[in-house]
Amino acid sequence: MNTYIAFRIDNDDYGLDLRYVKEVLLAVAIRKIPHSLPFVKGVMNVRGHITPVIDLKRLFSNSSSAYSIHSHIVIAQHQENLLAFIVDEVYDVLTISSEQLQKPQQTIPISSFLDFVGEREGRLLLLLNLPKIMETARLCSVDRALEWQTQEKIYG
Amino acid sequence: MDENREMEEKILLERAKVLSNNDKQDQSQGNQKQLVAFLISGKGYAIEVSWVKEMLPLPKITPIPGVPSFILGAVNVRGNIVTLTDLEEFLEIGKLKEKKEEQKILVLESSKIQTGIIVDDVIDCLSIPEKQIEAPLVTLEEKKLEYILGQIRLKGKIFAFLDGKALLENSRLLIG
Repeated sequence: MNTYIAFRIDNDDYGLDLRYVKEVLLAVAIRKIPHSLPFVKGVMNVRGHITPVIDLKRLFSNSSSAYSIHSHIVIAQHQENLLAFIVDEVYDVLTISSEQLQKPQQTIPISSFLDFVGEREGRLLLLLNLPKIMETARLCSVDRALEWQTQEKIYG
Repeated sequence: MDENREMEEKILLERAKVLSNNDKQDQSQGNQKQLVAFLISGKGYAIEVSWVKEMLPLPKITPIPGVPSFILGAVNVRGNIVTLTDLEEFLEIGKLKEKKEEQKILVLESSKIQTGIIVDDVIDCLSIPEKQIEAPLVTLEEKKLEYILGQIRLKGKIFAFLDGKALLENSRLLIG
């Protein structure tokens, strides 16, 4: 049995294991970082801890999520690392037994960022693999960011 | 429209400022409480260390006739007779289901009484700032609220913070 928080980004439902969740906050101003990867929204200061903020929608697709005063920020923690996600709302905390969880098919494009796929009231919840996302975010050194930007310029 | 955006940005900045304020003073100066955290039937409880006299392996219990059901019996602790209380039954939460060898007794003491409670395991002895003690659930029954001061989160589990004074200076625990 694992407990997850369920949150919504645009019209998509995601879940994150509760043990990773440090806190949920109202949207704050985010300091942009020059040359960062497109999905890195910037950094924020959480009581002295500088926390990178990730736009999951941008990581998983080509469009960015809307960010306004009504958005929320989920602060996730894995070992010593903090990572913040922009979400529209956190709407549930639910317990899902492991039999109800399925490993995502490899054919789902973002399957490497997912631990499992679960279900809540008929809607699929994509349960995030936080360590993997953190690892990806950690790799966003300036070199790679520049490379990414160049590629985007070339290919679209 | 632009005015709206400006307002939004102002609000976002204000929130960021509040959030970044790292109140270190609170962490260092806040009153610390020394607690013992333990488990009974899978449920977490915590009590201030000052009420705890000692912890022992479960000795042989001698039943006492004619006492309330939350009194499990008496044990001999180095020549002292200590009564054993079933805490969960006393709080009307449940009943101790089985006695196992791994169980321990936690001897609690106040100026008035001394009693042992059977616990499944003692998890930790820790000091936490008073601020981390959250208010008890408002949905708790009043009877339980008498003995529960609040709740504490430890390793993702919630522990009920027991009021040692209410528990140990309570006439209900005094028998005879």
